[in-house]
Amino acid sequence: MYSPTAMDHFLQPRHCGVLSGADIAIGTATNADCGDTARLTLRVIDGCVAHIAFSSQGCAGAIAACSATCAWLHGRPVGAALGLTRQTIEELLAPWPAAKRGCTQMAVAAAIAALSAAASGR
Amino acid sequence: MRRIYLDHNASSPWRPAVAQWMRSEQAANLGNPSSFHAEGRAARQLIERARTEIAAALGADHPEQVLFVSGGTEANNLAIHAATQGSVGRAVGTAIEHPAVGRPLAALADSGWQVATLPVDGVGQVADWSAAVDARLLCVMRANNEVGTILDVAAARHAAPNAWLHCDAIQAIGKFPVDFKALGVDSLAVAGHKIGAPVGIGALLVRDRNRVQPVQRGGGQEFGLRSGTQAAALIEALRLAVVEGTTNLMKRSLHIEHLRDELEATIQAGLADNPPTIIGDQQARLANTSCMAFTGLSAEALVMELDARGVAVATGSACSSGSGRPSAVLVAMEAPVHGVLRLSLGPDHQPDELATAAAQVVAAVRRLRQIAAPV
Ligand SMILES: Cc1ncc(COP(=O)(O)O)c(C=O)c1O
Repeated sequence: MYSPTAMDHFLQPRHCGVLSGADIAIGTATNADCGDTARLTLRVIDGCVAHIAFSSQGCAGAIAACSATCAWLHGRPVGAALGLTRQTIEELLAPWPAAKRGCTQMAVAAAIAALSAAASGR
Repeated sequence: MRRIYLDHNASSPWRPAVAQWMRSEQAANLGNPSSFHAEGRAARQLIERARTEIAAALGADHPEQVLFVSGGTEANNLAIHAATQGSVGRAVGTAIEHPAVGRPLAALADSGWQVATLPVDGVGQVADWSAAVDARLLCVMRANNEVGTILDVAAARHAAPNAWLHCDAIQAIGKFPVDFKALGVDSLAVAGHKIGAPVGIGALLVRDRNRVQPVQRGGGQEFGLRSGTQAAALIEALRLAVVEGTTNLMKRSLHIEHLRDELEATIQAGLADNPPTIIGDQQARLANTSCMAFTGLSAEALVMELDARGVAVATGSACSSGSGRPSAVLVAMEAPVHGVLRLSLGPDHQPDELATAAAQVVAAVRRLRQIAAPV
C-alpha cells in the first residue's frame, strides 16, 4: 500500500531524533483518529531551517510522513516553509494511500507549529 | 533471506501431503461427482471417503452429518440460516465471535429476531451465561482467532440446553481436540485453509440434517442442502488436512506450545525494560497463538517493520479495510488495542526459525521505540 519511497522513509527515516538548546523551536501534533503523535524540533539560522529532527509514536505512514517532511524542510527559508501543505508531502511519497492522509496532516501540522514558533521568536 | 511465516491463524500453507495431492494426475483429472462414468465415480468415492473420515476425526456419529461448503464464512452463515429460518426468537453470540458469525447474527434483527451479545472478561471467557438461558440460537466459538482463548462450549450447552448451539471451530481444529458429539453442539464450522488445505473448501457438521434448509439451491448436491458441483479435489485435500491435523494431536500441540512459550519468553527477556503484555487466557489458550501488546507502538508499523525483516505476523485486529479500527475482540476484552501483534505458529518450524523471529521482534520494537522517544 505504501510506495517504495514511503517505505524507504519508514525503514530509514531522515532526521529522526531530538534537538535541544535554548534556540530550538518545537512543534507537536496528534492524529485524533488513531492517537498517533509527532514532535518536531528545529533550529533556524539566518532565516533558514538549519537543523531539524522528529520523533513519532505512530504507524509506518506517520513515520514516513515525518521523515519526508523533515527532509523537505531542511535548509528551506522559514517564510517559504510556512507554505507547506500535506499535498506537497503526499506528492513526494506518491502514490499516498487516502486512508493515510491523517499522517501527512499530522506531520505538516507539527512542522507548521514549529516553524510558527521559530518565526515568532518563541 | 528465508522468510519466517507466523500468521497461520490467517491462512496456513498447504501441508506437504496436500500439496502432493493437489499436484497429482488424479486431482487434475477428476470428473463431475454426479456423473456415472469412471471419472465421476472416482470423484464421488473421494468425497464419500472424506465425509466418513472427517466425521470420524471430528467426533460425528454419521458421515451424513458432514456437509461440504466453500469455507468458513459459508459454514457459519449456513448454520445460522438453518437455526433461524422460518422462526423468530432470541439469538445470542459471544462478543468475540468472528464477523462470519457476528454479522449474520446481527442481521437477524431485520427478520424479527432479538439479538444479544454475551460479554467476555479480560481473558476472553464468558463469565456469565445467564443472557444465553432463553436463547433459541447460541453461537460460541471453540477458540478465538485473535487471542487464542479456548471457550467453554460445555458451559454454553449447560446454560441453554434447548438452544441450537453453533460452534465455530475453525481455529481449534488441528490445534486442540474437537469432538462434535462430546461438545453437544448442533452445528460446527470447519475451514480448510486454516489447517493446510487450500482456500475454497470447508465443512459444516450438523447434528440433525433434517433441520437444515438450503441457502443455495440448484442441482441438489450435498443432500439438497448445498447445491453446486462438489469440489472433489479440494474435499480430498480437506480430508488429508483434517486427518493429519487430528492425528497425534496432543503430542504435537505440546511441542508447539513449548515453542510458543519459548518465543514469548525470549521476546520478554529481550525487552525486559518494557516487556509486552500477553493477551488471552493463559489457562486455556491455543498452543500456536501468541497475542502481545507492545505499549506505545503502532501495530501497523511493527508489522511493516517485521515484514521488511522477513517475518510475517498479524496485527491484533481483523481489520480487512486497512482503516486501522481497533479490534472488536480486544475492545470486548477491555485489553490494550494499540501495538498488538498476533504471532501464530504452524505445525512445522525449523529449529532456529523461532529464535530468529524473536530476535527480529525485539529489534523491531527497539527501533520503533527509538523513533518514538529518541535519546
Ligand atoms: C474463527 C474464524 N471464523 C471464521 C473465519 C472465516 O473463514 P473464511 O474467511 O475462510 O471464510 C475465520 C477466518 O479468519 C476465523 O478465524
